Amino acid sequence: MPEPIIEVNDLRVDFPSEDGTVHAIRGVHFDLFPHEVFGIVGESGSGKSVTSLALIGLLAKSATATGSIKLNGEELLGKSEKELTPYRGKTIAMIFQDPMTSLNPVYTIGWQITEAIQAHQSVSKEDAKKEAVRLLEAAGISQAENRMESYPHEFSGGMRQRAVIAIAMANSPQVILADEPTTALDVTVQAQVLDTLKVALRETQASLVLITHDLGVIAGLADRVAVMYAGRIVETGTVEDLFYRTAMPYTHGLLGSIPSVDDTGQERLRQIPGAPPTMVGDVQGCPFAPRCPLRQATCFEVEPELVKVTNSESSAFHTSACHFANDVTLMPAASMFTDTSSADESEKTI
Amino acid sequence: MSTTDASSTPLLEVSDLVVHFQKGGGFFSRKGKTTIHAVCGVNFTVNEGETLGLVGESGCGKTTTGRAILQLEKATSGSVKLNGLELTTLDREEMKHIRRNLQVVFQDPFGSLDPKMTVGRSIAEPLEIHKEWDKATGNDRVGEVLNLVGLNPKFAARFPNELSGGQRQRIGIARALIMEPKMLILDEPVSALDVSVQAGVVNLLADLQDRLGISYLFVAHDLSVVRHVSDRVAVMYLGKIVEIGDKVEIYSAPQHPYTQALLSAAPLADPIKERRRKHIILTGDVPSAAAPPSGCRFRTRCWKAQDICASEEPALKIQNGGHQVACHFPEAVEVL
Amino acid sequence: MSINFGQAMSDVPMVDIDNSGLSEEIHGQWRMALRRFRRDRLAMFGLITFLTILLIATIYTFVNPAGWSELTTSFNQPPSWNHLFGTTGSGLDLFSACLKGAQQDVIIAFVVASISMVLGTIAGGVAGYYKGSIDAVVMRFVDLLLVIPLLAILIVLSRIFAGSGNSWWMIAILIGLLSWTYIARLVRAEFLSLRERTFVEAATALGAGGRRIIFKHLVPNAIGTIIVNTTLTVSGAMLLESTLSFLGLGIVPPQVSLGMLVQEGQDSATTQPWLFAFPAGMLLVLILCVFFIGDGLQNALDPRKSRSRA
Repeated sequence: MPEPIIEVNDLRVDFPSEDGTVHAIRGVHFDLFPHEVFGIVGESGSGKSVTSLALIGLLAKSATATGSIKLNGEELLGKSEKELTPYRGKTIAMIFQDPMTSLNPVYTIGWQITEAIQAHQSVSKEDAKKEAVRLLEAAGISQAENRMESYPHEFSGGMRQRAVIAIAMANSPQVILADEPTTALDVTVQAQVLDTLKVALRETQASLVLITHDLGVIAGLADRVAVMYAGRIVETGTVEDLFYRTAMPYTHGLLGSIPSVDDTGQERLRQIPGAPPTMVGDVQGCPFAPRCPLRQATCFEVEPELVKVTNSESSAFHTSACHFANDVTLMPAASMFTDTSSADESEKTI
Repeated sequence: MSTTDASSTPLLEVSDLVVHFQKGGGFFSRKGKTTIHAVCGVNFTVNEGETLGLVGESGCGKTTTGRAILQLEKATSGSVKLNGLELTTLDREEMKHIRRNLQVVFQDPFGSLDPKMTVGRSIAEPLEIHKEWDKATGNDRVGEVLNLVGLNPKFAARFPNELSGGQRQRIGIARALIMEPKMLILDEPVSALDVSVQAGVVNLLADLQDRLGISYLFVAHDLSVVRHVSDRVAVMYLGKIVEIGDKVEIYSAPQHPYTQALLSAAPLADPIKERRRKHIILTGDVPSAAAPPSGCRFRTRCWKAQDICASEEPALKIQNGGHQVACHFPEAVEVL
Repeated sequence: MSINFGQAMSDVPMVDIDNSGLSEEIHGQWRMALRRFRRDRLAMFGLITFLTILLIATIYTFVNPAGWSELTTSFNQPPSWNHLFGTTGSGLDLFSACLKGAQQDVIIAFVVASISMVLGTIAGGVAGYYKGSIDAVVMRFVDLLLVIPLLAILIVLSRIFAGSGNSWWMIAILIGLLSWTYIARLVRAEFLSLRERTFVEAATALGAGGRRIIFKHLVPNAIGTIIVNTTLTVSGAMLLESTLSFLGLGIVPPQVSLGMLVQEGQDSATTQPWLFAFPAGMLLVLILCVFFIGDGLQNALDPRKSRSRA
């Protein structure tokens, strides 16, 4: 197995709030290998975005982060803003949901790409400009030469996101971090941008951390996936592990709750009863237990660790944080989350 | 879902609906006024107990169509009939009576409830407006309708800020249901919700229709949700319907290139299928609604475009498949 | 096909009843605001001090109604147990005078604030809700009032009304009529943004008319802004009244106000400092208290800080 680029170990992030300390992330572990697309899925409040912000040191000042984030063996957590600057844009490039968070409205697109190139490479202005035009073309923006002089507001949402991808490609990063890069876009534009993202990966040979709530996007792009719930990774594995050998009831629920564009039946969607826990205070037992159709007494007492799934077809990467992981892989999806499950216990444990 | 009776008059009938907005051009403005052609001649009907899905991308005019039906937006021309009664010419007081039968659920579960009103008062507001609030039975009616949408009646005493997004959306549905309407306009009712919560609301809407026989106009951008809830589907692009027909036909044999592109762009949550199928990637962006292209509006992005597409606007007419398509070169293609 | 709601509704619920988040405690808007206000130490200090001064003043003037105008036989006495704040050159007990003046100031300020609140809310609300030409007319009038120097008008007007006997309410109405514009502008801005919110559109779609939307939806949502700024108008009015009285154009003897007492005491500020320090100090304390209360209300009612479980 190749050496991982990023190693995250026991990452924990707390925020103070009016109601007490919010445990946004409660011990996240994962490795990112070269040339892979690693998807992180979860619903709002699961901690997926906080994880990405922690990776590049952009957490709010009030947050406290512990654990370890290693980039090529070097510890990033605890580094100052100044010490992190050389990595941002160079080793790790970022793409956010709203392209305007990374584009400056008062400069032309061309200026911003040129600036990004010159920030980390010692090349002449002329060469940087040529490279910028090439990057815009690679990102699928037609008439790139003319578009260099445009301002961000003159671009459509999809074009802005592609310009951001061009900037991300500028310094051939090892890692591209994309947090809901297509969530704000229409489906046909989303397809364009995802296509551009694939081009960027081919061009830079970077690994991609793709954070999204959309399992369809994951299915199309990711090699490995982590599912987050209540501040932890509850299942991880290859996309095939996750979609075809699901080993965690929550993942089952997520997969069952989305209608498919190719489903012909009038089958009811499977709904997960209740709501995710608020992350204030301590967790006892499995945070999904109150909503889980398989819950047993032990689920409310012991929080399951992320352990390897020993199903014969599962890959070596397949892990699940469920006391009954191996049983779950054998269960047909339809047998879970039928309408008789009850919701009244939710939100009591936390 | 209940069957539709083709011989009866449709519950909702929208004909040649046009909505234009004037933008800019204030007294001190140097720029002239521009006209936004939001909806440009839209025709469709919704039968009793039926769900019509209205899909399209942002700016296609689907939400404006919904608002124009509700008379929240003034139609520039065209007609909207509910039970055969023309709505566009009614005054506010007359329209008020119609609103008992024509209700709406909005997209934004956080903004559509008054934060200073308890949930119970919000749900009871239609009763107050229509002078049906009765101290003796009012609270029971609120409790019943809360039960109907799957919430504990005790929620009536709560304020919206104490509820989750899914719960608020259920409150919005309860408020729309309390007057027992025949027609419900659902404007992106689940797109602001997390997927696991979305499923619950989609199921609830399906159950309510089964029980109460309400008709839905389901306005949404999410093709998979629309497929799940609709009987028939209309696809909009730049203010016009490009394809309309039975759900199964639209999804399994789409004939308009835009419908095909839209369906092929919707990601499937199945890695093997998703990676194997062909994706149509459109080039360019949607043209501005202030200056729509001549002829067929999709021609600037269409891979089939010929000269005739620029000179002549294709009419929405029945093609081989049995449903209506507005394209000079319709051809059924399987994209899923 | 038939719609039978009665039957449908009496059936057992078809989905499981969702109880999540249904704790025993009710977090109403006002309850939350009260809780936040109570936690705000400075605001609570302001409120308690303000009420204490007012209570003492009311009790004192009730028990000793003529105390503030009766002349004693001790002249120019520094503070002592008999005369807590000392006496003036004409033998007036300054403690009684200050309490009576504080009472008078607060009454004037409340009259001003009430007038401002009513006029400002109506004018701003009408402009913000109806927009268009009504808005233009109202706001141009507001602009006009804002550009005219307030003090200059008050000086002219108070000359006209000077000596008309019981003139404190004249002063109050004058200040009130000229200081509602601030609230009007804020209420208008609030209405303009509120009326674009989805819940207002939802009410329209339910068949609600303009009056219902204004009074049931817009005003309750703007009430925080109105209350906070009315409170700030109170402190503004006290300051303005004092300024006028200090210039000899506001409250004139035989009535009494803190501003007037400051004016009378300023000449002897170095020789008999109590004559200046006590009324000025009391005025400062009162205004600061109102200011702290306003600040506390702002924090307590600010919707951006409200509990949300998004």
